[in-house]
Amino acid sequence: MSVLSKLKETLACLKAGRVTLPYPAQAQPVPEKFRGRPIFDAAKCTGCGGCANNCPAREILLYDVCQEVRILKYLGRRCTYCGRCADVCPEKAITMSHEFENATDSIRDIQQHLDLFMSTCQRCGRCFKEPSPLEQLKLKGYRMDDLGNERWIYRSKAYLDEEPAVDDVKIELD
Amino acid sequence: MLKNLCQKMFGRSLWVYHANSGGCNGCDIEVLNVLTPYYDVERFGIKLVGSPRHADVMLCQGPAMRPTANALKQAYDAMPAPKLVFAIGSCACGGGVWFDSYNVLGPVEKIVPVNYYFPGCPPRPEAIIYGVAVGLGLVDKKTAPVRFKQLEFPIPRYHPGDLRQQGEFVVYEKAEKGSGWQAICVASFEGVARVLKRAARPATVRLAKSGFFVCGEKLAGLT
Amino acid sequence: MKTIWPILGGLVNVAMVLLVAPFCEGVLRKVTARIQSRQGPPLRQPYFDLLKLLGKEDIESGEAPRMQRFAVYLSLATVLTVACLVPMGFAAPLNGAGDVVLLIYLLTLSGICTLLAGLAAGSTYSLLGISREMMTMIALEPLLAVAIVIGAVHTQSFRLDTVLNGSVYGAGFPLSGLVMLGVMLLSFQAFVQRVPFDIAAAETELMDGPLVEYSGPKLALFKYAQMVRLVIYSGLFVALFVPWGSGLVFPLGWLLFWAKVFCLVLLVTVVAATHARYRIDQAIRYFAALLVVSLVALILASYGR
Repeated sequence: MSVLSKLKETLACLKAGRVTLPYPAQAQPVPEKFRGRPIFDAAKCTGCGGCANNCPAREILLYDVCQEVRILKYLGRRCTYCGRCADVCPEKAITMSHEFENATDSIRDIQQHLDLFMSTCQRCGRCFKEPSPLEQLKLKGYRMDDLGNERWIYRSKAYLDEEPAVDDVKIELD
Repeated sequence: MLKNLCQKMFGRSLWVYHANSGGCNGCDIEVLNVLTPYYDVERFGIKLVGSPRHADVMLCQGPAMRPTANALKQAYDAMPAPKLVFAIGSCACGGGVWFDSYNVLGPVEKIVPVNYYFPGCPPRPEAIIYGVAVGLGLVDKKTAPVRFKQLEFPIPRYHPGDLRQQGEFVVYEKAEKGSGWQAICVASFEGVARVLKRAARPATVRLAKSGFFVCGEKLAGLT
Repeated sequence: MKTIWPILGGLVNVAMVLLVAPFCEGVLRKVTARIQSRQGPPLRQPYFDLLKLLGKEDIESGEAPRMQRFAVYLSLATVLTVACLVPMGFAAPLNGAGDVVLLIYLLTLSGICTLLAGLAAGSTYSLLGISREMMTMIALEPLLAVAIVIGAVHTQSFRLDTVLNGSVYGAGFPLSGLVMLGVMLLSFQAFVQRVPFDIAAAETELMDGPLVEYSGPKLALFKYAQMVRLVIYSGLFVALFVPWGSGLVFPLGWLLFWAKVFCLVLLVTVVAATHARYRIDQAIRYFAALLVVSLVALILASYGR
């Protein structure tokens, strides 16, 4: 711990200059395969529901309004930007954009809501017979999630039991 | 006057208290990254303090867990007003991938009121700096809810005989008597913009597989 | 003139100290940042910090709120009184009000205020912080007292203006003076509570030690007292050991004093930025060695060397 070694240390650090990135003043380049917010392209989406089945955070909800219309809702609250939805989508309708500046004061701002038309004939209004199992997924009643409370409806009702988890702090279970 | 000055200084020197209530430490590391020389958030006056009584902002990270619920509430109550709470990471914003696991109560907003959310897993240090700027009101936020409609009720049926070519647009003019409802099939998005700009009232745009249908009233003269 | 001079001089001293103390702290933070290769906070940052703290809500927690208030006001009052007793470019304003023993007592009292603050808070962290602060004070205050007593022995008086005027270097070859200069330089960091000796207020270990339960305006006053302590200890050091040039005519001597204080602050910064914090037992052993050396210097001084 001699004085000379400390002086040498100081001079070495001073020679490095300033390594701080001028971030807010200049935008920083983003790596190529960076996974930011997923963007759902409504023009390409066919409503197959592959993304909803594969989301590990159960953040994509599906609801069949009628035979022709299916609602797909992406709630961004728990999304971990893993990219599984983009991987699975057969139409490549989901892109993981490079946007990471997602800070907001209301978490509902990140929602993307799609109303999808499930291929009835535009002339006569009837559904035509689906040729493949993927097309057969476009059936009525395929998924009926709970859009009002924004959660999946599981086959087992165990998640709907109301039980207090903590004794002295009043918490509402999701 | 002194009060005004003190309130203005709130944004110039934020003291931050970091509260991890059960997360995986990924967002912890990103928050510490923000304090290193490379991203250096101290040049904005932001300092990490060890006691919630000294702090202005509480950075919550990790979902609300049953063992730490009380401690988090006590730390929030110990902060003097004016105070802000930032929820960092997907776990604090919505519960993360662990939302249905044992001991996890949900997002942090079930215990303390959250002012700003920073989603990400983990959010980049630049995203955290941007979020602090949004929190202080220096920049606008870049997200808004989005709704796309491929179709709208009721679904009309277009017989080919009623579609007429008019320039580069195709007009469907058979409407019920007196309803004034008309539809124009437009081939490109720029065409939609052109029609909407000249429409008398806001019209709806429906996305069909062959182009865009602009539906509304009094559209016939717009092509 | 005789009655106005102490008041006016005291006011000038106090005003200068209050204005310059946050600036010195700002310089310290900026230079530390530059040594760490980053762009630090702006130089006026401590002013912003103090103003912001003044605007926050004042939560009175802890076991004894009245003692908390008392400790805060007392700490700022003692350091500002010491500012009136130290010659800052001109003769000490409150010269006739006391002597060097009063100075030592006031400095010890300002240390005791931190102990009172920690006791009033009553939380585990603060009690641990004040026990370490007590151990440090017991080992540290005698060093300053020995330096002042050596000066008193050389000049055969306890008056402020004779002792605080480079009196440590007696006539002839100033052996004891040089030894005390070395000792004070080696222990200066501890007086101003910076790394490597800021054991009481170790931030990440003890959550700010005795100050854990303070919030808002009281915290602002406490931080102010700590910043002022840096300036007055530097002023004392300059008056005791580097007094040459203080006899110059008013603006020049005054500016020279502040320039010397500034150099001392830079020295403190460089040492603080390049060292790690000592543990309490390592620090006590260090101070014990320095205490032995300073007693040797005292014996030499009493023999006239």
